[in-house]
Amino acid sequence: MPLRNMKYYAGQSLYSVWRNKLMSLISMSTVCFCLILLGVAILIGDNLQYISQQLQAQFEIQAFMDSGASQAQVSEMEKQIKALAGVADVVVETPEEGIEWFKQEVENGAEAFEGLEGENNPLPYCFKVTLSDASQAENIEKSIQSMNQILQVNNRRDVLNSIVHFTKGIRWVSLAGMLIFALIAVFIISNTIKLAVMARSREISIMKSVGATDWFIRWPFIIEGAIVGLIGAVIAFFPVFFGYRGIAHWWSGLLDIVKLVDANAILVYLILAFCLIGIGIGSIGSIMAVRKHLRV
Amino acid sequence: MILFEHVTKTYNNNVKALDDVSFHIRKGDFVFVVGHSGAGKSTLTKLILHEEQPDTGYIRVGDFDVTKLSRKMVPYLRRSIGMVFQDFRLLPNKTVYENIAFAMEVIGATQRQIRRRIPDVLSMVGLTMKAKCYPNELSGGEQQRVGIARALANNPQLIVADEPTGNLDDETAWEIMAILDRINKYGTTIIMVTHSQKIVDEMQKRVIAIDRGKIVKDEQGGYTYENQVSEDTVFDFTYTSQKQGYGDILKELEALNINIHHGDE
Ligand SMILES: Nc1ncnc2c1ncn2[C@@H]1O[C@H](COP(=O)(O)OP(=O)(O)OP(=O)(O)O)[C@@H](O)[C@H]1O
Ligand SMILES: [Mg+2]
Repeated sequence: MPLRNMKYYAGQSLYSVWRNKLMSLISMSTVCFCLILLGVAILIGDNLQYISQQLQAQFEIQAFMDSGASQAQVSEMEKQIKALAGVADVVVETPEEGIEWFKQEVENGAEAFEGLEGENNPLPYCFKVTLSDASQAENIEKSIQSMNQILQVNNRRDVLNSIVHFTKGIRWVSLAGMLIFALIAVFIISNTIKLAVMARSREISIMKSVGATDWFIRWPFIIEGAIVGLIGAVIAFFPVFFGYRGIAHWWSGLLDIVKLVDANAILVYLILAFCLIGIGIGSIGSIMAVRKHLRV
Repeated sequence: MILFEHVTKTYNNNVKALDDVSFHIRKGDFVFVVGHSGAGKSTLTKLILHEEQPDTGYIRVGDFDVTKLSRKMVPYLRRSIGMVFQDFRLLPNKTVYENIAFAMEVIGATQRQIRRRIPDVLSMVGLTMKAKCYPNELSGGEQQRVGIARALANNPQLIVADEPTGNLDDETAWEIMAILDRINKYGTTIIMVTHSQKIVDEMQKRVIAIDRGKIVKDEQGGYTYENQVSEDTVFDFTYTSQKQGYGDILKELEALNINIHHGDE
């Protein structure tokens, strides 16, 4: 479209937003509310994923060798486990280290495990496997189980699974909430544009009779919706971003082991997502209104 | 310039607004369309503008085959036609100048073209001094002159005016007629729907008379006494034919048409 048309559309749209102040404001607020919810959903989702990644890294699978295994067999086994997909690291615990652990961690362990060192040590070699990809836990476990000379495999998969489920659940719920509000926003914007169309029905009838093209008549309304959506998005961005930055700051002073996603790292991604979705909601609403109420 | 061939238009409430209408208007013609309220005059203008589509028949306006016109081409048909409305249809929040500029802007005219064209059309309707006025500062006649100036702005070959003097007193109506006549002398084809018998009689142009969707008269001149009688006849026979059924109405109408022609010869 020619530049002078763009200027015309933008002028018309802004004027119309201003003329329909109240409806524009209501539309902007709905978009804003919708996007705040989306922001919260995104941030919760991102953080749960980030946190569960951190936790997953701390989970480990324990695999015990047969008691009679030799030093060479142990290091061979270690290599094999390390080669599995999704394994971050393998630490080998010798029977001596195992006994030491029991002695220290169990009550009265020093006396209870006295005399079980060296030849008398009943403990097997143990591999402590940490994962880089928690979703591979089951496969890794099976692979290790099927290897020769493995006595037993323990895991904490129940905890892991419940975290993965919880994360997914929260994401679905927040996504559904955001979708509902997006629909409400589309509906309200569509009504705002309908009012704008009616307010300009005389202009539209003149435009049609002198031979303005359909799209020339439609564009200002679609742009109006998009502007309303965009303003709502920009307004929503500030509380979401700065609110989150505050929370992240507070959290970092509270807990060091588990970190939250860095606020500045998601700044650009958040702005882009908000603006695109705001414009999207606005345009969809106005296209619906124009299709329904602007017979050209 | 305009060709209607056996055009029939039925609205979806089964009202037959136009019934087998045929006529040809040449470039540069000035044609009145007259008839009782509800006769189908406005329907005729709507068909010319492709605001409504006929059920059957063929319509050509200039180079446009209106019956086969694609949606995309409709605006271009309308750009070749200037519309003048009974209620003027000016934008109250724009000045005279801006109202005319608006009609040019929305079909993509440049500011330069607009600045050059508006003084021309304003002088054609004698409103050069009123360019900066708002519509509510103008008389009805002046407002209609703005309407005509706007219709002329995009340099159409055809002006379609649906009762342009309908809201004006006699004296003002004559001002408007003088302007339309002058525009017609410059070569623009004009179709004007009117209820004013005085205007039609005085102007002595071609008159197409429609009654109940049919053309009952198409000839040069005004409403004569004879024609008045024949219109009454149409009314009478329709009343009686309610008992006779629909087919008979058509037959009698046709017969009447022939009678009118006979009477004129
Ligand atoms: N959009 C429409 N839907 C249904 N019927 C219509 C529509 N427009 C017109 N009609 C009917 O078609 C017939 C012709 O209407 P039209 O407007 O052409 O009359 P007209 O000659 O212009 O009358 P007037 O002198 O009162 O303006 C009338 O019976 C009218 O009720
Ligand atoms: Mg009419």
